[in-house]
Amino acid sequence: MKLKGFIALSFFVILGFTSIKVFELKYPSYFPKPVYDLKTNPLTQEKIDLGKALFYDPILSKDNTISCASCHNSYQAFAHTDHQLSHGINDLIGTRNAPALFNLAWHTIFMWDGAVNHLDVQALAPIAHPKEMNENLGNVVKKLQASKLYPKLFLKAFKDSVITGEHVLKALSQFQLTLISATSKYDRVKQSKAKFTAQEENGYKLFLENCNSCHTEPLFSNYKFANNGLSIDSTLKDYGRYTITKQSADSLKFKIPSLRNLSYTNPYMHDGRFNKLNQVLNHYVSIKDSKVLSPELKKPIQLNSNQKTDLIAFLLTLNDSTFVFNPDNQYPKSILMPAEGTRK
Amino acid sequence: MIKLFFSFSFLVICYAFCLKPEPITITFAPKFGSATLQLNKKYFLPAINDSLSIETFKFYVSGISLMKNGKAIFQNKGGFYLMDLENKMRLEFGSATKDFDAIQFNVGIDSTTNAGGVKGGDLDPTKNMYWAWQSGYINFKLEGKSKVCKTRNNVFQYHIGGFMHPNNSLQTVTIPATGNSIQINFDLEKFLSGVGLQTTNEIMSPNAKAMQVAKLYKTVFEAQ
Repeated sequence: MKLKGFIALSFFVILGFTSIKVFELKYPSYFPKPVYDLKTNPLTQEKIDLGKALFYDPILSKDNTISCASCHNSYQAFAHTDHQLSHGINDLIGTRNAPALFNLAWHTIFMWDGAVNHLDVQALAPIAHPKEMNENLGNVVKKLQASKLYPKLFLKAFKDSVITGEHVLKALSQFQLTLISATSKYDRVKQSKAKFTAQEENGYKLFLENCNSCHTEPLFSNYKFANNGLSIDSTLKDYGRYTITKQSADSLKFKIPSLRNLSYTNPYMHDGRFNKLNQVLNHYVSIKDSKVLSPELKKPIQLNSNQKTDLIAFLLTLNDSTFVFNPDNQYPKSILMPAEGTRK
Repeated sequence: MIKLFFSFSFLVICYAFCLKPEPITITFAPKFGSATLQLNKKYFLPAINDSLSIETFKFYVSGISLMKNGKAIFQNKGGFYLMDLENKMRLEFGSATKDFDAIQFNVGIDSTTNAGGVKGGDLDPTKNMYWAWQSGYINFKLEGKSKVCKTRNNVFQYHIGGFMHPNNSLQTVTIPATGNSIQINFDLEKFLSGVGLQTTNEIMSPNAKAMQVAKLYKTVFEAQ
């Protein structure tokens, strides 16, 4: 009897320590399995909330002026509009167009050149970049530890008020993993909740013929690298993937972005050189063949003006306003400005 | 019920202590020739016919194996240790077996760990041993000054990392060793003579030069 008591008791004790409410990442059945291994960083609401606070808090930058959201605005599907090249601390202008952030659980590699191999360590790059946040993670941890707010939030999330770099980065990953864009018209059509117009349907066919090999549905990117025939910008001299691998075959290759939320994420391309979708399509129909051009583009894309209009009509069905205006993804006023907050 | 719980936890703690084997400790002793290396002290290096000083010396040790007749008889798999002359140069781990004749370890972090997201403890990116601009651990960091370095403030900085072919800079070192307390020397005089201070002052990315430097480790770790 005593032994049974022991076993039952120890079972409950263990259960009590390990039972954390795991937050389930929701995505449609036609999405592939996430690449991010959630077992290494199980999602909880407390960690997601902490990650959201960190994402929106300029405390991550040297002079407390720049947050992740400065260049990744929720209303632009977490991209940076109005600027070809994003600007950071002291209005310094970087060399690339900040990409949109969504469906990050399916990305295999990060940054336009693939410099970063895992979502967890991505934030280190903008935090340390002298033109972005110009800070280092060790200092960030010190500032967070000295703050009134964060030791409490870390205690809630990680059961430890001693803040570590690992926990800062894992919390940031958690919030970013919840940024799932899967509620566009395209998704409703996929789920038989809506129908394409004839024009969109025709655009979809053109998309499948001409674009899908790289901008593969349903994520609308295969997240690989490609040389899409853009000439090099002589002021930037950005060779993309080559910068990292030093392999000549990677010259001028950049990470293929998703086509979801295009209406929110202009300007386009790694250097933001195009501001309109029309300009993008005009580029793709006028690519000159070269040795380094990606094989998918070797066969010229031919679209007449009606076809371009149809294709754009389809591409606009990838806009996900539900995602873009989701209040769950926006500035957490109740956490960061509790005095003014009305939600709590 | 509460009594029951306490006696139960007491038993568990006792059990854990009884089973805990005596640890094996490894102490790394950086030398300059025959002298014990001290930070910020001037040493004369015949290879450059000039003096130098060391300001930072840190490296990762991982994948420790105890060997017997050339075979691994114990592997300390999850152990990643940051050795830092300013902080600690000693690591310890538990092993049930003590009957070994050599110790094998990696200087650096393996590619799986490098590609597996953020880690804590000695692997936390706040340890200044992780590159921000490009994913990957710095396996080995040596910084100092010498007049022969034609750099700003005459500094030399060797940040040796990289985990992808052809610049996977992780190196495996095997040293004859016995007993619970192992001391391994690292001769910086020999190391810096091999690096070529006059010509190579700054390495801060995975590249061929980093590989050349990494290959020197094997020659300068020595059993005491």
